[in-house]
Amino acid sequence: MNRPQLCTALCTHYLVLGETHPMYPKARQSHLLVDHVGDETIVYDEDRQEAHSLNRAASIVWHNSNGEHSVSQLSAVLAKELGVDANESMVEYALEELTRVHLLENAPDGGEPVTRRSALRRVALAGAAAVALPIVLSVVAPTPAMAASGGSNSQGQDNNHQGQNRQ
Amino acid sequence: MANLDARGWPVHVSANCYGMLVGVRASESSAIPALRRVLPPGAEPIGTMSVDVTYSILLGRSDEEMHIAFENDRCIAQGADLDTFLAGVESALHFSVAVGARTHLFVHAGVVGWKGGAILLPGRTHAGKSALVAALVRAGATYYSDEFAVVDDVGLVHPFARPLGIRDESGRTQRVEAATLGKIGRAPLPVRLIVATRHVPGTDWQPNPMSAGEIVLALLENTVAARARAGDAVRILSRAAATAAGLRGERGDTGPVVARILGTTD
Repeated sequence: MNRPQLCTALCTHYLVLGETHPMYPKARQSHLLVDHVGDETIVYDEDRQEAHSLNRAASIVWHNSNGEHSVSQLSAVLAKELGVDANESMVEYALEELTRVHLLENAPDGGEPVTRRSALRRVALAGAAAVALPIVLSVVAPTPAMAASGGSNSQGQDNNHQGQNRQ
Repeated sequence: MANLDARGWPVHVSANCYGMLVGVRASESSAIPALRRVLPPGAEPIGTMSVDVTYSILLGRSDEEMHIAFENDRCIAQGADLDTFLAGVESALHFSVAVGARTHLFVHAGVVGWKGGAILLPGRTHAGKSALVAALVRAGATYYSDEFAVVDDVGLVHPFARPLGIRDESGRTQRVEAATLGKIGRAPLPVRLIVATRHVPGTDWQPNPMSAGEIVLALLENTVAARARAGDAVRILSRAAATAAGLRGERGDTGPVVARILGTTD
């Protein structure tokens, strides 16, 4: 494949799959309360009154997103920590999740957001181990009235819907 | 409030309720049992009259006269039936303490003790907490609360053993004294199990395990002062979750669920 053909192929790849993550991602620091439980990270966003739980893979990507590590470098870190093959798709998926919940400082503007289904398909095609899949779960912190009621919160969610957290 | 302050109050008590100073006063000397009833479990009497919030209870002197209660200058309950009226005052006062507590974190959850650990059932109104708590206590668990898990700074759960409020088929809440069901807890306990569930008739309970992070979110989602004390909530709930397993899923009747819950922590 010659250079123009390679460029065309790469552009097609990113246009189709919707490249939305920054090249050197940087974790947001401001107005966040952070704690750890086991190998998971709990992050409370004081700006949005939301709480997030990052599993081990997502935590590794977020903690190592210092604005100086490329996706490739993050992939190597993730592979070493989890003992799996390096897989940039996993890092890309993690960054998309972290962008979705506003935990990156330099999230890209514009671009078509990648749906969860297409991201997971991409990760699966790349042969990523399911155990290494980055997962970010989220809830809206209730007001006292919301915490006492059995109705919906401001996001329109059923507060007693115990089947799932928001993803 | 000035008008209320101006009248005479023959009965007045003040208490430290988990770091929130609460004053309760009544218009009749005979209301002392009523004052004791509305104060939350764990309230510690204090001598000061300077408090964070004052509850004023005006008792009707005849069958035709309504009872009225105020939280500072806001009317929070009124009615002719004394029992129903006091239940309303109790509910409002306990919720105010849950919001304003400084030394402990209040999570909307049923709580029972079992084999040295606490089982928490987080959920809001109409989730079926009280019925499941009652079933667990009848099966031998120790009653801690059907409304609030009161969590201290190191993640231990303290008893908040007020009478259970169990809804009958018509939707009316019946007050049930915990002692009629079984044992009542006294000592703080580490959290051993979180069961995030709600009653959906006819459902076969097939819960999924929860990670520690999911447990924290499930508890935070039911924490009364989650926004006002976000830092404390994240820290305390992370500590509580570190010692606990979690199960999530909708349930049907309590019978099959009770055995499974108690068996999980054996």
